[in-house]
Amino acid sequence: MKIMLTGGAGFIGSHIADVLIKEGHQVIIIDNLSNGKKANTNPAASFYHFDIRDESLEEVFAQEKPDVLNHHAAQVSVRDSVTDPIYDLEINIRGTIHLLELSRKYGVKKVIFASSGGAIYGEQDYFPADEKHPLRPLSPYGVAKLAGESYLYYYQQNFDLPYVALRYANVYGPRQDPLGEAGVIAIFSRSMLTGKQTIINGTGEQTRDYVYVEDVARINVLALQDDKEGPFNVGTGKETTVNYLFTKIQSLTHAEALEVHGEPKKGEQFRSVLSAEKAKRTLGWEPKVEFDEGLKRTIEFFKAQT
Amino acid sequence: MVTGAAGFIGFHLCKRLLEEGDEVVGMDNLNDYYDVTLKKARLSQLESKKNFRFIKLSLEEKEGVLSLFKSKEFDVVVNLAAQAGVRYSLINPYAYLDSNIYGFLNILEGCRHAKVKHLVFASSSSVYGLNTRMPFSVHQNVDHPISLYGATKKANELMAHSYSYLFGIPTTGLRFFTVYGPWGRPDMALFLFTSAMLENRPIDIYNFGDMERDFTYIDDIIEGVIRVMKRIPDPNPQWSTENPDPATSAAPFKLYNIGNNNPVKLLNLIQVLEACMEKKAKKNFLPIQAGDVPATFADVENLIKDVGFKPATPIEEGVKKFVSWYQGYYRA
Repeated sequence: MKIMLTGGAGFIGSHIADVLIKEGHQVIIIDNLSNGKKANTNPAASFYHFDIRDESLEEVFAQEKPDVLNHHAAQVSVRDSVTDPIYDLEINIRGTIHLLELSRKYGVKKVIFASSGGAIYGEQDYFPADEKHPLRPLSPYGVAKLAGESYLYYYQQNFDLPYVALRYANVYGPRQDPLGEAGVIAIFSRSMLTGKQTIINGTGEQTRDYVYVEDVARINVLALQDDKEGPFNVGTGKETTVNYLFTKIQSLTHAEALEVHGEPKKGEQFRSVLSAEKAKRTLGWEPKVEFDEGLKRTIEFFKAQT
Repeated sequence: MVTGAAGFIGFHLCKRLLEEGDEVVGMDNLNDYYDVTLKKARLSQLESKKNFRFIKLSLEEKEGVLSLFKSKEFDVVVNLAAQAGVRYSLINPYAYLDSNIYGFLNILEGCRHAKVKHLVFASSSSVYGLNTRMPFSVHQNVDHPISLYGATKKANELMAHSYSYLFGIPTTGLRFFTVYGPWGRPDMALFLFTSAMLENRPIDIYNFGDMERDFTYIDDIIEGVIRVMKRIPDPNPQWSTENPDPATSAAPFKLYNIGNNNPVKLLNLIQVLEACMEKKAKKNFLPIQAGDVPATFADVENLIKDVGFKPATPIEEGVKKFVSWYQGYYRA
């Protein structure tokens, strides 16, 4: 299939491009390189250095006529969305609608959308959260991702444009940007490898559900199957505390870092964990890479980088 | 003497020199790399001027070139004749060796025996090849060209330096950055886009539009060349054999970039063109062509310091002038 992949030079997107190409698909990458790196893009993909809001994207749709839109381009920082919610809206809502309008106009047959299980459920009522959990996002980023899903539903209902929304847990792995604030694993690994002190926000007992990026890339292939639609959680169902992460990365990097606790981050969720039973049942997906193994591979990657 | 006098830059240079009252011998072989009618149309404007003499001759014609140098004493020689074009150098590489290497040697030999006061020769931004440190500076090494065209232009710089050193010929090399304007070359992007749009054909956009060029307007190029011609280079007294600066020498030899110092994204150029023509382009996105570099950007510090000039024509103004020339010329 011919797949237009936005954000294909980014952390998750570049892994998706790699597996799609390995599976024999034709990939067209759209990326403005604001976070992504040209070096991460698979050379077998056609690379368009475009912003998703760019008007001339229409000409790319007209020429390429993709079968599927896989939309991973985004403003990815929860904290930046709090500082500048309008910018977040520009990219994550306006950019998404722009792509959906073009998809409708140029006969795209399916849309796959990167949503966020971590951000759209808000403080959870029960653990792990399934797809029926109430949606109460606590950040502009979460609001925008939820809006994206609502627009997808609208296009599906009104224009028969099928979609899959992948509600990611905390994705980690090689190529994650350690300079950003999104990936605690990337940040800890990089600082411990370079001998810099890291700060644990709050008690360190807050939990996240860490899912390895190659598992995430694989569900993007499975989501292409006919008649598979709707939202899917993409997580492991396992909770990991920041303190565990800290100790684990310390032992893997042989770093002699002190465990320093700082102020808890305002508005940060305490526990977050997703049930991916639906993805298992419907798409035949389950995570394959165990946390300790994924962590090892990630640290290897950062070691090679430094 | 100006070689390549019927070419894009050569024609404009001759015209300006004649306006300033100089006596000009123009040489050109009028080959058919592109539309000969266009070359002849340029030439006919020069031939009406009384201080102009045209000689139809190829750089490769050794006897002819050498006898020309014997028959006339030139104060300044400007070598603009060449086999141009990056993409064509993958199709017909031998043409580049013939004109740009063998042909250029004939010019150097001519200068060697004729005691020319200043040799100015055309080099190219394509010598920067794989370099990506922007802006491109003449003080950087340029040892990684990615087209044979770029390689022959780099070779010209080396050949010219050796002659400058051996025979004391004051020599200046000019690296031109994507020159455009009225009477431009039909194999260049702006020309191709304009003609395609007028005929409602789609335009080919390479590297899926992710290209940047330091588009430099012809009048700025000519102003730069004229000023450089008047500034005869001296050996650089600070030049060190221990730590050799690529842009100057112990010989009377200098290299300059001539570029607009303001790279423009290809898709922006197209927007400007669309605005000028009041018409939308149909775009055909394609991968990058072999030999092409994704971006160029000229550092012009040295040019400013030595001749007090820097190209500055904004793309909006230059494109407008090009389009109005194009429409006038091809309607007539």
